[in-house]
Amino acid sequence: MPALLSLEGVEKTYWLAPNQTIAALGKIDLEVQDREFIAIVGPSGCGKTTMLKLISGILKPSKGRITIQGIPFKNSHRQLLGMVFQQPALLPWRTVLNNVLLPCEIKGQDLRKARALAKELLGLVGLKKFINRNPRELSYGMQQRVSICRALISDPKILLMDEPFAALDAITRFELTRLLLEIWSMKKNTVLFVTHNIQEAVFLADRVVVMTSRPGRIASIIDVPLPRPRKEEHLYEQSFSNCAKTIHQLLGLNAL
Amino acid sequence: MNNRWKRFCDNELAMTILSMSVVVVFWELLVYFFKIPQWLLPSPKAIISEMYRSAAYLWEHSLVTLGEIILGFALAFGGGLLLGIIIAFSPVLEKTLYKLLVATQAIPKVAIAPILVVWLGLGQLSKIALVFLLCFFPIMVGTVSGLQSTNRELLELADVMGANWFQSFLKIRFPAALPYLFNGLRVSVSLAVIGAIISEFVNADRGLGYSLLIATSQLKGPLTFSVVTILALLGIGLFSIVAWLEKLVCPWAKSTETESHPDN
Ligand SMILES: Nc1ncnc2c1ncn2[C@@H]1O[C@H](COP(=O)(O)OP(=O)(O)OP(=O)(O)O)[C@@H](O)[C@H]1O
Ligand SMILES: [Mg+2]
Repeated sequence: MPALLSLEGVEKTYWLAPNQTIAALGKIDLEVQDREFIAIVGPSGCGKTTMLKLISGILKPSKGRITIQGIPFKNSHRQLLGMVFQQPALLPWRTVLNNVLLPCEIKGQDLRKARALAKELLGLVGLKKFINRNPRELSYGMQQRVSICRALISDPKILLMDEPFAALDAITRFELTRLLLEIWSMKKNTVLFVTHNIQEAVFLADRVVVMTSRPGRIASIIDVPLPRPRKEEHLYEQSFSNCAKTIHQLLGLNAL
Repeated sequence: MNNRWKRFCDNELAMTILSMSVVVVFWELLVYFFKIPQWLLPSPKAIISEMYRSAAYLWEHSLVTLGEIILGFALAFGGGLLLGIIIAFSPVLEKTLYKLLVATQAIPKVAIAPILVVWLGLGQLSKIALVFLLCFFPIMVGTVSGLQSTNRELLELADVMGANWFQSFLKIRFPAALPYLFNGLRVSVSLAVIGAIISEFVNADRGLGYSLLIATSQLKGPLTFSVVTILALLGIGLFSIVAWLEKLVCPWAKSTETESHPDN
């Protein structure tokens, strides 16, 4: 049984000009199992976004290969993927509900069923009253919730999240973190969650992938020894701070 | 009291009417006290009664000019939109044809008006052609720049969702380009009126530009100013229609402007 997602010797080099290149991603080997919650931390510019874009098929790797359920990337894989960007990236000419429905429209799914699901998801993230509003009437945190619903609507097997909470204030951030865990415990997707925040990574993930600075490589993969479901108390436990400290040191060592 | 005054100042329509009325009254008084002759500057009252008297004549010529404007504008809209879409997605055409078209903008198009008469004859075709030439460019540029400045994240999003080219065009690129397109439309609708008048100045036997020339050459002050008034109203009317359509079609485009007003 192959891993759900696996990256084998994946490298990415950006071509700026014919003879000017940026090695964004070193050599990445990573296996992700079904229903795992993976957090990815690393210094800015180490290629975290690049890695998610490679997995989602937006970019092609320069070397190596990415497989899902043992099969190299092909178009039908997009059905299995959902992506949340750092910005909400909502379409301003669509209502909240129609933004969430966009993936279903594009995939040509039954809209009546999808609409019911969309309303349910929006209710789950506390936006029931806002489904017919325009995105610009919502706060940033609310918009990001909408974009999470949009990623979840097609029930993706793999959910890719690129620092989705980075621009939020601490309170909203923690609220959404809890919400994400709640949704994940219901849906049991596989999540790859990029973040700058070590606490957030440890609190959310089963395993934390720590990356080195450019070209990004995997410095270490840390298992989080906390039980599920995660609770606020866990934040103050010894095993939590030990885990966070290890990651901190790993990142600190690679800061230069 | 203070509050009510503020609300009145915020009401755009009321302020426009008020300032226009002040100008009209001032004008009327100016003509009256300084006994300015009609052929030089008729009073607003004289203009209005002239418009009433020559209503049929003015109506007839207005229709001619309006027809030229609408036809030229419609052709420019269709052509500019189509070519804009093609150029936006074809790097080769953008480097060749687009650059060439931008270069031709250095030619003052008013100078082409007499040439168009030579090419297309004395009829309405030469007028429609000038309106078209003036309107075409802003619409095309609006389309091209709108389609090329789509937020990259939105396109990547379409990619992740597995959208094909046509879907991402229809659902993301084109709606995102609409505000740019309307920028072009607003510019070209003003140019359309100018184009029609100028080509009628050059050579015509009907239309508002023609009747303006005749009226001035015969020193008919009130009639001259009646035509100018109609032209102004025509310009404002067409512009308002485009602005109204913009609000209807892409209400999100200007929202930042209205939202920044503190409503107290
Ligand atoms: N489209 C691009 N063209 C050229 N270089 C790029 C492009 N996108 C990213 N890069 C480069 O690749 C490197 C990795 O970028 P990436 O966005 O993946 O980093 P990141 O880890 O997500 O950073 P951050 O934490 O700041 O978001 C950076 O040095 C960046 O300059
Ligand atoms: Mg990034």
